[in-house]
Amino acid sequence: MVQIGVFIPIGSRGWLRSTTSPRTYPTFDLNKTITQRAEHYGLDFVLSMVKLRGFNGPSEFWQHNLEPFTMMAGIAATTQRIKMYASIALLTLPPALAARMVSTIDSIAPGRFGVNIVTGWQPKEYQQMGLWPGDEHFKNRYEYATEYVQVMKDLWETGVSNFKGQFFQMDDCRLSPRPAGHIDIVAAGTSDRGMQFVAEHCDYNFVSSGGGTNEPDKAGENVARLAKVAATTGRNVKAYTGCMIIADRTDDLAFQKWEYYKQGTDLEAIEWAHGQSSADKSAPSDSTAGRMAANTLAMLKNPKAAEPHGGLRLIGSYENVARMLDVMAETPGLGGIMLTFDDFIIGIEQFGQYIQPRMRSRATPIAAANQNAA
Amino acid sequence: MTKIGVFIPIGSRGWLISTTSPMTMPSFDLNKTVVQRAEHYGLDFALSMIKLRGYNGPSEYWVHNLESFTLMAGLAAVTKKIQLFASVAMLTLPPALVARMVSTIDSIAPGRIGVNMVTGWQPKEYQQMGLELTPEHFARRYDYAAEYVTIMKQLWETGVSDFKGDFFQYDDCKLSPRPSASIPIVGAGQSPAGMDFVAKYGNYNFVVAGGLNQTDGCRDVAGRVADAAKKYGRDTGAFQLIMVIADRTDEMAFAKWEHYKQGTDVEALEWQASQAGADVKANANSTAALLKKGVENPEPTGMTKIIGSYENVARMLDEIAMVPGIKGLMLTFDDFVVGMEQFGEHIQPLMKTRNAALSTQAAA
Repeated sequence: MVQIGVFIPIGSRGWLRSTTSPRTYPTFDLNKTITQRAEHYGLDFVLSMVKLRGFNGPSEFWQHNLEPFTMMAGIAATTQRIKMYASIALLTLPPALAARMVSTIDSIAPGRFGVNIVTGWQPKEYQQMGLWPGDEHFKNRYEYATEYVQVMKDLWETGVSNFKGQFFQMDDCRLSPRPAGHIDIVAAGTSDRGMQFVAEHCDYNFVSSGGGTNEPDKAGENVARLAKVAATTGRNVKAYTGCMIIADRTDDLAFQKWEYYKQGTDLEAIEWAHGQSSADKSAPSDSTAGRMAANTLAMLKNPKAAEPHGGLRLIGSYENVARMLDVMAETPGLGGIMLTFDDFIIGIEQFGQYIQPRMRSRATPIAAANQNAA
Repeated sequence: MTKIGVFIPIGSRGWLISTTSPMTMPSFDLNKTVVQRAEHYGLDFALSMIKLRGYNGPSEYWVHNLESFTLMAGLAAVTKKIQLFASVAMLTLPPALVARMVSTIDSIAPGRIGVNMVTGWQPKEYQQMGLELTPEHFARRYDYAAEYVTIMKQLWETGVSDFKGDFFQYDDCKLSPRPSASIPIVGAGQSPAGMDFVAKYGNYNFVVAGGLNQTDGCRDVAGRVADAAKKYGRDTGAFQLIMVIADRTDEMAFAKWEHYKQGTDVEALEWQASQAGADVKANANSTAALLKKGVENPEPTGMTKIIGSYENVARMLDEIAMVPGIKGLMLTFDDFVVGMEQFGEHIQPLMKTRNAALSTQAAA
């Protein structure tokens, strides 16, 4: 059964770089409401990114952002069943402290918390606070991440770390309380090196589902790439992918929204994204930064074709969105789908009331959610 | 009206270094219960320390510890009125990230979060993770703290920091959302440099004295806090840290203290003294110097203990509250859930400094 999660809007404008999309100003109440409604509809998880710097441009895209660990701690205290992931910007937080934050949130919500590993692609996020190690970080960021994850695992599993590496030197470092169970580690490694890191050290990987509108069958190649690397490690590592849902009663009504958001496409924000994502001169074309650099450059060259969201959109009637999500869910080896919405509260209600009930791939979770409600 | 807060048990054994005191294993549920009951009884604030390493010794004192910001974020979501303070171990977190954590907790509980600034005195907390407390750090720790708090204030007040100092170089660093209200800063600076730092930037300074049922132990230090604040034209108040051990009668309360004393964990006190001794140039009034002395007369806690019947504890807390310069009390208990109920039900109702009606009666 494919898992469904929500990429919750910890940053302004959610995932639409547009002046005509919902503003989605991040507050605790907004994120709590979305998570509680996601839980109500039997969704499996929520994940919050970490973003320490927004994009230039009039849409104020991601300029307003909360901090994920403290936000998830609050959400953990106000939910019962749903699984939560917070993102760690590795360069900003020592692994021993991150490990203790995880223990603390696990004490709030035992067995419901995991972490998403963020190596960083946007230099300004770190440079603004004097933490950018220089562009050599692009080359060794997965070695850094490997050491970081090892320290956390030592602490969670044994309560002690004596890890000595290139970046971290632990000396009888202790952690207690330890988490009640295994802490899932996820990442979004899309380059070969990133996939190798996930295959060796993580539990799930978010891979690209391609892009474009209503092409739900393009994730297979990346899912297979991960499976191939994972097979060499003998570990059970699942691929997850994502998409944005823009839905309504009819295809027409849904596409009207998308056309409206397109009118406000924030080219200045796209320009900023291009400048930041092309800082890594050696980025492979299939890495997060490489894909973003190419995608944003294409839009800058042809502004008429510019779009507020570079990833896959599923746009249409509830029936058609449900059908396309089922196609996506049937991607061989896919573990789950993480959703974003144009408007998150309306979107999660539409999903819960009208889309999910039509999905063959969600029959079991719906039955469970109904039982919980009863 | 004297403010009263609770120093919540984020670490094992609370504040009693003893094998016979309550284990007080820190969990979210324990801390939530303590803070919700504190809120129910009208207490003003709850503060959690940050401790990244426990003491050696059989009592497992502070060996089990949660993380302060995530704990307070969870507590913010399940309380309504009480002021909350999280502690930042400044060497472990960049100020811009802490500023954003504070904004986030302010979004959970608008106007209810503040920050306790911790410079660090226990080297092993930091050395274990590759961060060294060097003699240079000890010598300049309040300069570091001043830069740190300046950056956070710039981000909270204007949304931007371009601060350039000896320890931090910021370049058009941004923060949004900003907190909905001014963020109170507190500290526990006992040395002259620490006191000066808290006077300049802080709202409360947590002060310690020793002694058993001694109610004027902080007269001197409270005066120094007031003098330091005057220098900056601020009204930073002294808050005394107190352990309350109470029961129906003096005898019953003292029986508990005697029982805890029997389990005094000398190995842990020795660890504390050796760690606190790392700063060889520590001022005689500093936290480190006070902790170092603990081993000379081994007892489960060196902080002021107020032990006795509910009536006597209420009277002594009133006496402390009326010491010039004391603006509030931060309480610990031997057993936090029981202690909070005893305080709320039996002690606070008898305190003149917590009941306008009682103090009017006394005046008439």
